[in-house]
Amino acid sequence: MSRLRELLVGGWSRLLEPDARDVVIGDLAELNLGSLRSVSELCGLIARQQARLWNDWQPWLALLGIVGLVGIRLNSMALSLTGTPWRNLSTYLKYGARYESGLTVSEELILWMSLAVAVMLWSWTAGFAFTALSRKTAPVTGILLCFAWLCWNGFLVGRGLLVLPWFFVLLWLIPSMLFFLPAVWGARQAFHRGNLSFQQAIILLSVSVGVIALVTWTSGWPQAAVEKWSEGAIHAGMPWYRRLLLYLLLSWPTAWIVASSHCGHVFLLRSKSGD
Amino acid sequence: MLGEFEYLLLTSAIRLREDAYGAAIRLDIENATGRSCSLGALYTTLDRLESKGLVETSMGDATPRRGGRPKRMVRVTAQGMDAAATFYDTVLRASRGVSWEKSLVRP
Repeated sequence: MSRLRELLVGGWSRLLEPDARDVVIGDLAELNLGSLRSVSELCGLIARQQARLWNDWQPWLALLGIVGLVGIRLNSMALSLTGTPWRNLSTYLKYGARYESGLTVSEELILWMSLAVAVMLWSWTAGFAFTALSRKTAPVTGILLCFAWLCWNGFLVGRGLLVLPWFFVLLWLIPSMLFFLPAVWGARQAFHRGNLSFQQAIILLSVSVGVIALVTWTSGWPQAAVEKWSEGAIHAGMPWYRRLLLYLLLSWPTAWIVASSHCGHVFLLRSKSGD
Repeated sequence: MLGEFEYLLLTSAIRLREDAYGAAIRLDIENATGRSCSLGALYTTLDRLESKGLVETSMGDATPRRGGRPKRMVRVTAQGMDAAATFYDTVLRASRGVSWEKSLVRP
């Protein structure tokens, strides 16, 4: 096999199951096809296998329920995290004074940090559940999603660079990583280790409950500050129960991870008692 | 009832016997039909036949010609033999009394 063909075929074949990978690479070597033909044969096989996997409901749930419902919302939440430092920095550069939001510096820091932690946690659980729901479709779908994410954010950065200094764009790009990196990390972990143990799932659930309570509380602070400043004349933002509902919706992958881990735990206990 | 490609794959595997594996089946089908056969079509059909219980597959030996990679050996089950024979009989019965002369086809 030529070096180029080996590289191309080796790279693409990683999208196949390990057993099938060896067999297919062996067949391609034996058939002695050219580089392009080998890659097109391989892509054809991957496309057919993937298309077959989409006959099940799990990949659809992962795509619509996690990417569509949670992922897009988390990405925009991560991007919105840039708002506070951006506003503070631009006000300081323009007027040499702090932007007065009605919150103290420490309150603003706690609010920002709690939202950042929540976005990272939900992104990790979304990535983990995405892969755990459909391990076989996750690599191909994941690569396509990463590509779509990079294109979309690249488009936004490109548009931003036309009108803003580069450090503003950088400031805006960093929070988007709070979504992207934990999501990819969670997906990788699910791919390599499968599901969480029951104890780990319980710890994850406890942390999630704590984080939901924290962000539901802290995300009401700006609203309370505006109400206090306007002496009750302005009621801006969402009421606490709607914020809680939104955060619970973003946490459904956590609930799924815990539920599937519980099922695995029960199955293990039953098989042990059966012995 | 089998599909056309499923039948071709089964007959090829029966013909090749102990030498039935991916690359050999592909070459055999191409020789028999004169049409190209992609690995994608071959392996997805093989998976389908295996899930129907018409073939059994196992990992074979690795050879230097394959870069030390194993073969996926294919063995047709008794159920697979029956399905292929039924398909063949059906085609024969359905073709009885039919002429393939193009002059008989209306323009």
